[in-house]
Formats: sequence, structure tokens, C-alpha cells
Amino acid sequence: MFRHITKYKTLALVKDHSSLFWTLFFPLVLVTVFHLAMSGMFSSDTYRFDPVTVAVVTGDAKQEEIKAFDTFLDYVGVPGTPDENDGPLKVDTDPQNAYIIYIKAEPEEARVLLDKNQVYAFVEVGETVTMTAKNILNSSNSLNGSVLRSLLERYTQIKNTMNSIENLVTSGAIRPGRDFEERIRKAFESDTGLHEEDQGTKKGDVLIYFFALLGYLSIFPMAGSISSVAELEANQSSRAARSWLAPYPMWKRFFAEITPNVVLYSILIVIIYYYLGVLGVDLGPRTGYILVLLLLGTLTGIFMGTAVGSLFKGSTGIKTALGIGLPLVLGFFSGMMASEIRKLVKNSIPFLQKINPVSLVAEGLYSLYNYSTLDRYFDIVIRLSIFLVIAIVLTIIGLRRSNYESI
Amino acid sequence: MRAFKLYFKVMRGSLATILTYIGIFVVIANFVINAQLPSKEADLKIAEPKITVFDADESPVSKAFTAYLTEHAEIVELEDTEIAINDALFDGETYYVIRIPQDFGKQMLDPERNDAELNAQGSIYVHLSIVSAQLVERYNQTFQVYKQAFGGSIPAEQLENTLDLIRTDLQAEVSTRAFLSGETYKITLLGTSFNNTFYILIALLTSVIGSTLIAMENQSVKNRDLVSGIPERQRTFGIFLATLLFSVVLWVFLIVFMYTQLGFDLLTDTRSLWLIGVSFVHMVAVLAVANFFITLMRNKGALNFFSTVFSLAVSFTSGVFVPLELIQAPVQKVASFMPTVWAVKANNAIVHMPEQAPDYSFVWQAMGIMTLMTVAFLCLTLVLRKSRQRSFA
Repeated sequence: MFRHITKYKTLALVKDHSSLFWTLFFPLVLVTVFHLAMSGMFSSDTYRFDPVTVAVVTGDAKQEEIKAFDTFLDYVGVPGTPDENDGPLKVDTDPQNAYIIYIKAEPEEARVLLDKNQVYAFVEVGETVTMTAKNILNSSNSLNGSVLRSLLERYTQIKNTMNSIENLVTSGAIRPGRDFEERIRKAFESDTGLHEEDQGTKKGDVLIYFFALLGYLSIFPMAGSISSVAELEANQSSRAARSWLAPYPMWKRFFAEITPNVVLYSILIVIIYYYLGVLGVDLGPRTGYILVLLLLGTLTGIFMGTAVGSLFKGSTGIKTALGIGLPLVLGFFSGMMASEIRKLVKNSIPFLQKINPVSLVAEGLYSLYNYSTLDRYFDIVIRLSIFLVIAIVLTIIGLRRSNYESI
Repeated sequence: MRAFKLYFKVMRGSLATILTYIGIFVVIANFVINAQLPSKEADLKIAEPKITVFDADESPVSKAFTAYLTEHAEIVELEDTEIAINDALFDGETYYVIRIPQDFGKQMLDPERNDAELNAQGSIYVHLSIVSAQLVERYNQTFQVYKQAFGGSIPAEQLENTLDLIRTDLQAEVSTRAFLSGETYKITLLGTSFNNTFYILIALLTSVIGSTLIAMENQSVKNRDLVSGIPERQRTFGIFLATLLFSVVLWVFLIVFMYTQLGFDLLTDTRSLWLIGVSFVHMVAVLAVANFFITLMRNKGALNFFSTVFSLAVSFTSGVFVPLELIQAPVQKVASFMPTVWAVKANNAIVHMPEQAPDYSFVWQAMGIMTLMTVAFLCLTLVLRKSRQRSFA
């Protein structure tokens, strides 16, 4: 009987060309669109530094302050000119290692440049240095502000240091030698001896979108398995009502119904993984571990669907909406649509992050990509397995001892 | 009006989908908007560096350096393991990890050297890595300046005083100000929220209107209507009117919800009214596009998949989720055959509009393109319905 149901369920799945097409077509289209949309991410200005555009207003500043600031500008920036089409400042020379692109302007002109977004900020030089910028919600705005403020602080600090040294010389604590000025100038330009490592973490941070997408696609079979439960409950479909007449245990019928789904979606997730590779998304060398995690995620998605399908006895409309909506919401909270959301959730509702199966799969893939050890990976596999067991138990609770008063 | 009434009767079957999607939107929008609402509009929002320091030297110089970092950045304590560090960098709990090796103090004081070995690991936020590296650079340079001022080495009895002087020198601050403080940040947040509603509108309009329309176009239902004496033209008009009414009600709900979160006072800002205008034109255009594809498809089984693929594909390629500047030009060109990318571009133009000499010509252009798309898709839908009617006859 088990083989009979499994065989006919498989045939039903394969012969329903429309559903089969969409089941296969949907993830592949989504992956392709996602790849096309996200491939520009590696060159994003959030992850790459472009010089900050600034208008410098000297106004009523003293001549020596203007001169000192000019020297500072030469050191950290290159001059630019306003774009004719009201775009950001254009560079006259190659910016290379410059931190800022600047233009000297009158106060009113600087305000207009900022208002038109041709510069990020305008800086007023005087006794104190003031930086004025727009509060805009975008990826690089507050980051640019951080760099510019840091540079301006450096200018003020150099002034302080020079004053302190002058005081030390005046008090006699320091006796300047012949090449004193030259040595001080060289010291101000000295390197730090700072070595920055990059162990691929940065690329992994961009890949989180793809990790979350794979997490979403492994949970996505939920929608399909919800409808499989409807094929078991005698009050939800005529086929189920008919099959109830056969003297065959519910749990065996359940597994016979669900097995073709498990096989189909497992094959699908493996295809998706290799398809991503074909698109040029490198998820790291640990293919075996990745596939185990994805298959575990797929099983979790299928049994989440059966749990929802068996526990909620309401209309198929609600179940279908949940089957489509829930994986999307979980994907959203795991950072599939915006990685910042993942951080917001982690800070505001850390518990949700720990139980969200899409996040678990995404973090598992991230840990395989970034960490040399497998501790985190196994921790995630255990958590996902617990989630899977809970989903199976809920399914059993929902399916056992059903009574149909009126079919 | 019979088709009009029937439409809403059939739509009751999709009530669960409507409520689920709206419920999800309300929860997510509430969470996202409130998490990003500014506390004080007058302050300029600047990302602050967060640094983790592992000091293996523990010399007076390294301690003074760590104390200086504490004054200029948020110091984040972490367990010194690969997983803890990478997790913190990944989650944005810290942006820069500095390792001070043994002999750091010795190397700093060495008359033969003008630097000391330091190891660091930055996060994906290059800007904050630059800021953190500048903090390190500043300290080193100031230290070296004093060393040179003392003739190449700082006398032991002067070390404590010099370290204090360095910290005092480096305490300089720059005053920051938000330009046209007003509601600029809230307007950009409103623009982003408007962009996000596009996804909900596309998803709901395709799935709900789709399932209702497919049910209405069922041949037996259609035959029943036609034999009852309702002309096809009147039936089509009734259905279109009903879909428009449903879309407008849904749209109004989404807009009102957003303003309850961000404040109705934003309605006094001209840019806010422009955003509403663009959103309305986009909603009508999406309705026309959805109607066309559903008329073309007519398969209820495939509708859920289509709705999910269509809404996600349009949203991802049009800049609803990911900023437009990250999306490659060829993808944007393909997406420009859909109204959403024009609405997103118009919204971006509105929120960044100069206050002194605003120029809304691009916004008008985008709305014009969306209107043309509406007319084109509406015509295509009518032609398709007509041809189907003929082939059936």
C-alpha cells in the first residue's frame, strides 16, 4: 500500500505539468533574478570607499588658519568642480588615495551645492571647524560623515599638538635642534605599522544575501507540503475522503504522501546549489556540508508545512497564504531583502533570530564559508534538527485521532 | 453592477490571503520604521566606530593607547576566538579588531623606529575601517612627533606627562550640524517605506485580483452572466471598476498606516504629497499590468507561484529592496518595462529634491511613463479579452 500511494503521488506530481513547471521554474527564476540584482553588490559604495565631496567655506577665518587648512586639504584631498548637470563634484585630477574631493565656496554657494546634493557636506573653517550635512537615510551617508569628521578632527588635533610643543619649547622642556622642523614634519607623516587582515570575511558578508536566499528556498517547500496534508484529511479533499475508506494506518499514508515531496524538493535544492555555482556564486569548497545543511533545511520546510497543514483546520486560503507568506517573512527577517534587517532583528528580537530556520540555514552556510572550525556549523545543525523534530511532533499531534463528524 | 457585486463576493474567498499579507506588512513595517526613526532630528547622524582591542603588551604606552581609543570609539569586549570575532564583525557589533602585540610599547619608544607593529581586522564597512585606522594613525603620529620633539626618544621621567599630553591633544572635536534639519530624515524614511509598499501592492494585486479574476472568467460563471442579459462590455467594466476600487482601498490603507507610524505632520511637506501622487499612479499601473498577465495566464494552480515570482522579481530588479545604484544597468533596462522602477526612481528624486529650486520634471516624466504603461497594458488586456471572446464564439 505504501509503495502504491508513493507511486501514484509521484505520478500525480510529475503529470501535473503546470505545478511541476512552476515548482521547478520558480526557484530557478528567483535565483537568476537575485543574482542579476545582487551582482553589483560587490562594488557597492557601502563596501567600497569613494572620496567624500565637500564644499569648504573659509569666510571670516584668519589668514594663517586658511593657510593651515589649505595645507591640510592638499594632504587629504583633491580639488573638484561642480558638475554641469547638477551631479556630484567632478575631480580635476585622479583622486587615487584622496579621502575628499573639495571645492572652495562662499557660504551661500556651499548651501546651494549641499541642497542640490552636489557635495556631501560643507565645512566652515575658523576658530572651530563646523561640518554641516544632510540627514539622509541611505547606506553610505552616515559612513561618509564618519570619515569626514575623523579627518577634520585630525586637522584640529595637529593644531593642538603644535601648540603644546610650542609651549614645551617656551618652557624649556624641549630644546629644538637644527633639523627640528623637518623631523616634526616627517613624524607627522609617519606610517603606523598597522597590518590589516582580510580572511574572506568581507566577501562572506556580501554573500549573506545568497545564503539567506538558499535558506528561503530550502524552507519554501512548505507551501507544497501544506497541500499534501489536505490530501490526507478526509474533511479537506475528496481524494482523502476516499482513501480513508482503505484500512491503512494514517501515519503510513502520511509518509507515503510526503516521500515524493521530500525527494522532489531535495533534488531541486541540489540543482539550485549547482546552478548558483554555474552563475558564478562561489559558496566555498565544503560542498558536502553545504548540501547536508540544505537538505536538512528542506526537510524542516516540508515538515513545517505539514505541521501548519495539520494543526490549522481552517480554510485552505489561510493555509496557502501562510505557506507562501511565512517563508517570505522568515527570509525577510534573515536579511534576504536587506542585510540590515538581520542586524535589526538580532538586536531587537534575538530569540527570533535563534529559531528562524531560514536564518539558521543562512548562518550555517556563512559559518562554513568563513570559519576554519566546524563548531558553529554543528551547533546550527543541532538547532535545525531540534526544529525539525518539533515540526514532526506537531504534525503527528495535528494528524492523530482525527474525527470527522460530517464529510 | 451585477459583475461588480459578484466580484466582491468571489473576493471573499481571498480574504485570508489579504489579511495575511496585510498583517505581515503591518508587523514588518512597524518594526522597521520604528527601528529607524530618528530620536532627535536636529542631530547629524554619523556612524560611530566600534573597536575591539586585545592588548598582549599591557605596557604604559599600550594602556594609554587603549584609553585613547576608549575616548574616541565604542570599545566592544569580545572573547578572543575566531568565531566570536567573525560573528561580531559580521553582525556589526564591532567594526574593527586591533591586536596589540607584546613589545608594542618598546617599539613605540624605540629611537630607531617611527612605528610599532599592530594587527587589525576590519568589517565589510570600509568607511568605518578607515576611521578606525585613522584613530590608530593619529595616535602613532602624535606619539612620534613628541618623540622627535624630545630628540628621538622620550625620557622615562617624561613618559607619563607626554602620554597625558598626547591624549589631551587628541581630544579635539569638530562640531556637526544637520542641514535644513526639518523632516529630511523622516522624508527619506517615508520614501523608503513607499518603495516597500510597492512589493505588497504587486504581491496582493496579482494574487488576490488574479484568483478573483480567474474565478470570474470561469466559462460557466461567464456563461451564466451572459445569458442573464449582461452585455460583455458592461461585465468587463464592472470587473475593472471592482478591481480599481479594491486596489484604491488597499492603497489608502497602506498609506494611512505609514503615516500613523511616521506622523501625519509629514503631509504638510510638499515632497510627501508628491510621494503619494507617484504611489497612486504606480498602483494604477501595477493594476493594469497584473490584469494583463492574469488574463494571459488564466491558470489558478500557477497563480500563487506566478504572484510570488512576479512580485519578488519586479521588486528585486526595480530597487524596492536593494538600492538602484547596486543593480546593474542591463537589469535596470529590462526592469524599466515595468512601472515599479520608474516609481522608485521618482521617489528617490523626490526625497533628494533641493529645497531652494526644486525641479519636478523627472517626477512628471516618470508619472507620464507609468500612465502610458497603464494605457498600453489596459488596451492589451481589452484586446486579449476580445480575441478570447471571439474564439469562444
